[in-house]
Amino acid sequence: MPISEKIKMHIDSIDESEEFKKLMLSILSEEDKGTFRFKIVYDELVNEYLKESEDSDS
Amino acid sequence: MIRFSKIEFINYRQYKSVVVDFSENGQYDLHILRAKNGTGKTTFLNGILWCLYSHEHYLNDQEKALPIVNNSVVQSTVKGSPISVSVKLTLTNGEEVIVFDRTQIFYVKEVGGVKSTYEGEARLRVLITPLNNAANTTVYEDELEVQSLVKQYFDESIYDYYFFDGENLKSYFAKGKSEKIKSSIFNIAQVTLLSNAAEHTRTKEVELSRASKKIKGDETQTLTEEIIALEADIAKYELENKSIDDELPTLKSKYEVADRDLREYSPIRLNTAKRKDLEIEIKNLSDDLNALNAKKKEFIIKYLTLLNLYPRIKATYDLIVAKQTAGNLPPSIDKKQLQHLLDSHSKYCPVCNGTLDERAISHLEALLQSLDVSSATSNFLMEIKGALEEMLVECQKYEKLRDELLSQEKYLRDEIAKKEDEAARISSFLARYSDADQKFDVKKAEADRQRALDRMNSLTTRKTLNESLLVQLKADLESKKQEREKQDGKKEKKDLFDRQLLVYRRLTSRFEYIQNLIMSEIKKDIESQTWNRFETMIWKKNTFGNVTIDDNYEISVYNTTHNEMTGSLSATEYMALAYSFTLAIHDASGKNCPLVVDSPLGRVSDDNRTNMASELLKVSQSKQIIMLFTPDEYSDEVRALYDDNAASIRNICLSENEEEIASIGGRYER
Repeated sequence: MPISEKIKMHIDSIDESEEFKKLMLSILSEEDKGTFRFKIVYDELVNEYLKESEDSDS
Repeated sequence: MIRFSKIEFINYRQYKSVVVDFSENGQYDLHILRAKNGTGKTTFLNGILWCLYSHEHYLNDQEKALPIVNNSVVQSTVKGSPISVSVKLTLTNGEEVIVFDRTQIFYVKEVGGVKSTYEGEARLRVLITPLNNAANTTVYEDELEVQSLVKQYFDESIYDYYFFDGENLKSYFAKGKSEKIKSSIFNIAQVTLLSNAAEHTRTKEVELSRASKKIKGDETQTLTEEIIALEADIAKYELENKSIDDELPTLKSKYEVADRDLREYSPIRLNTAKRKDLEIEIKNLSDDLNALNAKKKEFIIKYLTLLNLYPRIKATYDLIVAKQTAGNLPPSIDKKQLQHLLDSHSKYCPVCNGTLDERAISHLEALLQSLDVSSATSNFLMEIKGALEEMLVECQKYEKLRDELLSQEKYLRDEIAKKEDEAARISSFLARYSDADQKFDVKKAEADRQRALDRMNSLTTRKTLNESLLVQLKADLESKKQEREKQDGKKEKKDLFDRQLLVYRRLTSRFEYIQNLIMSEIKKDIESQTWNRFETMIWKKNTFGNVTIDDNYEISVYNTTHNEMTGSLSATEYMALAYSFTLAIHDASGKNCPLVVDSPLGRVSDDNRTNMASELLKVSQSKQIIMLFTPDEYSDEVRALYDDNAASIRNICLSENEEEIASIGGRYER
């Protein structure tokens, strides 16, 4: 189910980069699908985030 | 906003084939269904509950109730035939269309002319279609997934907060229920989602921290320094060999010129020719000596093993021979067969068919006693005996072969020494040679030849040594490079783990922060919204002071003098509190779910009735409310408020035989 507006609002208001906020929402969406795959999917998302951060830094 | 757009019933109790549409119409999403008692108001509510939970929570007595399959359908269906009962709820949440579709098959049976049914297969599936991509429907049929979706929208543990029965508020604030409310609100408000995410990111933190610590410190720098040193050594020796290669042809040429001049000078020709012959012989003898040395090496390796094992080989061989001599290893006699023959008390010998008398049996017993190994062992020992014998013969040859090799070596060394002496004598003679003619400077030519030869030998020895060193250095270099590659990989991995770890730490802290924030907000919101609504719905304005909700979600009402009065509320006030709390829970959960209410004002009278109806109408501006009234309950003051404002007002009418809903609609439908 979609992440609630309340959570989205709180994520939006924290002092983090847009990429990190996107990562938080992606993790919550994956968590919402079920907890069995979290180990693999979380790593994929975090690695994607690290790559995006590196790209935007360079 | 989450809202029902359609509810469809097939063969479900009196709802034989009914579709109720809940289209939006005007500013209020309020839908009225009116029905006389016994028509199917509560059945409507139970139909929704059955679809979601497979359980009709508002049925008075589940065990004594009729089966859910419509009776007229059962009566008109042939024995053994299936009947499909289904309730389908279609909802929208602004982004998706969600359909909860439960189907249960029943089979008709007939006993003594009375038709009834027995249950067949049942299933609940959920279909989710994005509003912007109608062709992309996801169907969920897995039980766990389906249950999880039901829980996300209408958690069964607080079903009566979505499907409210105004006549049945006894258990509404029952003890122990607050814990369910709390956990359900957290689930609906996705606090549980945040807490699960935080727990999982924390698990990842621990795993990564351990994995990172396992990778030892960085040795890349040391290895790089060692590689540079090795590469420098290799370059040095290769350069030296190259310069040797450059010098050798010149030296060879000098040597050949001096040697040729010496051999062509007639007064010393015999000496130089003799020296040349000696040099060839020395070369041949040296080759023989090298070949002998190789043979000697092989000999040493072979006898090192054999002589080390000699005592065991000898002992094993002697043991076999001893057993063989004692007659303990007769290959033709099977010890097992012999034992079997004696055990079976046979009167005849299976080999010669002769009689086995007492004497023969005694002989066999003695023979069996003397055979102390089995036939298989016996055969094996006999097989290795030959090999052991060969090894022992080889061992016996050792001294003779050793002496032969040593004597050959001695001979070759003596011969080489003898010939080298002879050649050296000639060289010495030539180095001191002088004649009266002075036509050719023999001394100088011999000195040139010797110098070139010495230098060539020295350089060749140096080159051989360098080459052997280079083999070792290159092997070391390769190994160090491989080690550095491994270290590079490890370092890269450790770096990645450390960066991932930082991200997971931030995620955990952020999820926990938002989780705590939402939990605190939810409690505060529920408290203030319950109080605000309760105050609006109740006509008394000077009695109630406030409503509090503790950390366990237990609700308490206080009067203006701060004394708790939850237990003293009238039925109307109790209902107002239930409405207020329900709507506050809906709001605070962050999920604006619909509210379906049976007998919404059944226990309410006087001014409170108008207040409550008015408040619920206001709520329906931003929340779907479906109300199920009896005609009496839909009184004039309610009619005055709802007739012109509700999105739909319909009557539920039974058929003449009272077995099915004949219509839902009528003059009130807008």
